[in-house]
Amino acid sequence: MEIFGISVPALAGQLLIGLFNGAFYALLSLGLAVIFGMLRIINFAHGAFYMLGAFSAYMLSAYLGASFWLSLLIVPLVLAALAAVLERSMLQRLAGLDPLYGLLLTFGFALILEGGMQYVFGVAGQPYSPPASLSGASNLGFMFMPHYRAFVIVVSLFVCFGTWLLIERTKIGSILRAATENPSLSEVFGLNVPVLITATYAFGAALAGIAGIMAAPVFQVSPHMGSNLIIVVFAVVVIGGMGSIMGAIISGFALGLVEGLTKVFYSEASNVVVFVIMAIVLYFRPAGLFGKDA
Amino acid sequence: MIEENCLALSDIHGWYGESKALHGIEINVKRGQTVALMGRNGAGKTTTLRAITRQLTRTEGSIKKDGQEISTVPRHKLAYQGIGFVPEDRGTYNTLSVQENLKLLPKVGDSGMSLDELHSFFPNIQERRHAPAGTLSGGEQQMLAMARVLLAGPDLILLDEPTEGLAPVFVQKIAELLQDLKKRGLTILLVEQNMIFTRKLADHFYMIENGLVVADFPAEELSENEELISRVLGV
Amino acid sequence: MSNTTTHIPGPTQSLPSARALKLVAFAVLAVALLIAPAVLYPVFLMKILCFALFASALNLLLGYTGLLSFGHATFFGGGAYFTAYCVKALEVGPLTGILIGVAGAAVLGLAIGVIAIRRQGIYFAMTTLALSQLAYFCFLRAPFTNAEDGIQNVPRGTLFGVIDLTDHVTMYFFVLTVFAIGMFAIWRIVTSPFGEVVKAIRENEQRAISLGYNVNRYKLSVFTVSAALAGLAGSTKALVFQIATLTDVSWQMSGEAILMALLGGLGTLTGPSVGATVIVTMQNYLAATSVPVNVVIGVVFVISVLLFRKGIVGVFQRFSKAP
Repeated sequence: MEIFGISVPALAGQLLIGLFNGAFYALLSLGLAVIFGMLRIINFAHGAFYMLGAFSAYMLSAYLGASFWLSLLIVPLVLAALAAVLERSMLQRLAGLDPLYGLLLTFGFALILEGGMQYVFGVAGQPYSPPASLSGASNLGFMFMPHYRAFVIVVSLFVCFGTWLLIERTKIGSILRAATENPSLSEVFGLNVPVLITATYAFGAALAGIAGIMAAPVFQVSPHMGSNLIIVVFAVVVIGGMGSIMGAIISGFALGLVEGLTKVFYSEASNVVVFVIMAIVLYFRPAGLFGKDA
Repeated sequence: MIEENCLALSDIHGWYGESKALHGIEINVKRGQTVALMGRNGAGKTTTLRAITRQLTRTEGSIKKDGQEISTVPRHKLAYQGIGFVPEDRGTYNTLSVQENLKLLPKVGDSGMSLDELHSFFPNIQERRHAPAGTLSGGEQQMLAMARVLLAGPDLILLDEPTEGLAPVFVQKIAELLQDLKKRGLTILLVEQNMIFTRKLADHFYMIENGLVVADFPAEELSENEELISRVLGV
Repeated sequence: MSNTTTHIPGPTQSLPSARALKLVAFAVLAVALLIAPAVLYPVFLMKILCFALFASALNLLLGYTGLLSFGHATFFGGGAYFTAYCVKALEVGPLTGILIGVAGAAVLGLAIGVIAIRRQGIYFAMTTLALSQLAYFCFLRAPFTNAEDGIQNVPRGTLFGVIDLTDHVTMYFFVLTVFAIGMFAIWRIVTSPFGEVVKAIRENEQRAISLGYNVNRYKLSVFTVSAALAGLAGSTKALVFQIATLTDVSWQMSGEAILMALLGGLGTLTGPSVGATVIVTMQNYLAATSVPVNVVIGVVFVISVLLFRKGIVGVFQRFSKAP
């Protein structure tokens, strides 16, 4: 069987890889969008949080023998705690200033976290094996489906849509949206906006932590694993527009797929296809595909 | 001694950025009273409400609720002192549905209305509960803003220009509601330009000019002060 | 960044004594730069000058126009690549090489600028970052850049066919001249009517639009000029170190330039050079120790943003202005 001269298993395999990468793009761009919605800053440290998620899983396993499943619970909490401390101690002081300062401050966080991990662990990748229950693959007839990849895609979808439901369909979500729309009035109404802001930053970091631990068994656990990824995610965010939660999720998965397809048809361009799409989208629709503001 | 004043502002100075807008406001609102702040545009009426709700760049002076100083409590705890606020622009959240708006505010007291009472008072709001608040008409948004605050149950309500730009039918509706709230014993601090509306409601009047209280008198002395009112309001 | 940058009084606004003080300071600085290679290692000084020019070019955009470009390494490193390639493979002279580098950087700046200025604020920053990452991959794949190895052993050449630049001290004076020309250009721009419009855009873009200025054209012009000057710094750097690599076009390099400008003082003429001096000196010193340089840079970044937003020169100006 062939489509456009490409065998179906090869095509399906690349699409799966695309969806798999898209699962990470979606989790990370969702975290950026959630944080941006409330704090109005771009969290440059997001890639470093992702990296720390992977390293936390590695350290929990190497030093404490924690299983993947236990780490999957602990790591997001660790990241949330770290982010809450950073927000309370430093980021909060920039309230009311140009949001570019928030970008620069979190850039500083990223340098410290990455430089620190490199100092301790060196640049080489650390090994982390997937749980035994998720090893192996199933033959779907037209392709092989590695279990771990399928697991990551499902978890990502689950977390992304869970977050969407939380924000769009619950009481706590409506409080968050209210505080986003008019923070000072919301405070007068009795909503504790400073705590909401801290919680939002912590939640966004936890999402990055989930992405990080899920990346650990597949990609190299290394200090710089987040920094190049996060720039692609920035492009994803610019393409989707920061206005909507759903926009971040959809653009994440869609661009992962596009990247996967590019690998099949013109592999040289797969590294840059997201950036090229960003340039084209910006030219014709500066607000992004799902953005409301210009 | 039981504190008679529900709200007492003394020597309030307030700033927007570098420019000073309030120059020593003194206002006392007795419990159960409806007090109206009157003055021209820019005199400092809305600014006074913003000073109470701490939305100015800087505020000095003493603000007491039931005898307790509240100018130093964190802003998000003001509501728990029993203060409800309906701002000039209504402050309804456009991206939230009507129902989400209604249920947003934490319960701060029980002096307000029940949901059933509100629904019978504002049937439109019940009908449009799933619509985004941004799609409501100005009058409906005002109803929503009032209903939302009442559900939270404060004993003091700060109302900024509730009838501004509304059709007569809505003005009538709001007048009825405020009469009802007065009967229930709620304290109301009202900023209003509509003199006909205010005459029927207020127990006490404060005239504000250039960020200062220039006169105050009870409703009984209204007729003696007509000249002053015309001068201050410039009508 | 508009609300925190300090406005520098032009020469005409200064008090006579302040003006005299400035002239004296300028003279002392000039003499110091002239005798510096006798005291300090010339290559170290040249590195400072190149980065000072790079940071000043970025500051023209960030400090004076209020646009945060997170992709200026593309122009710095692009200039370096073009110059290195032309000098080494095409065997052109150093001056021609630098001019080609500058022109190349300007073209890149125009191309990236056209897209990036369609968004504002934080989106502008992300867009420039993403586009410069696109450029990074292009440089990685381009046939003339030798991928990870970069262009090495770039000859410094002979200036006007007579002055051999191989000698470090000779090269230093060449770099100093380039630096002076670049800084003079920036000074002329920010004090010109064009510069006044640009600062007006920084203060209030909407008002500049309503006054009838074609804001986007101004932004694009500044972006391109800033890119060209960053290219000038990169081209010169390629000749000094005789190498052009991917490090020069990486986003970390863009971040460093921002830090230098921020640390020294955004929107001040001398600030970025002061910031560059501090950072390059620190890097040189730390390179000999086991202290992780990036962590220290990150800490300086955090401190600058939290406590020191006016920068070294900004703080100094405020003190000197206090009664």
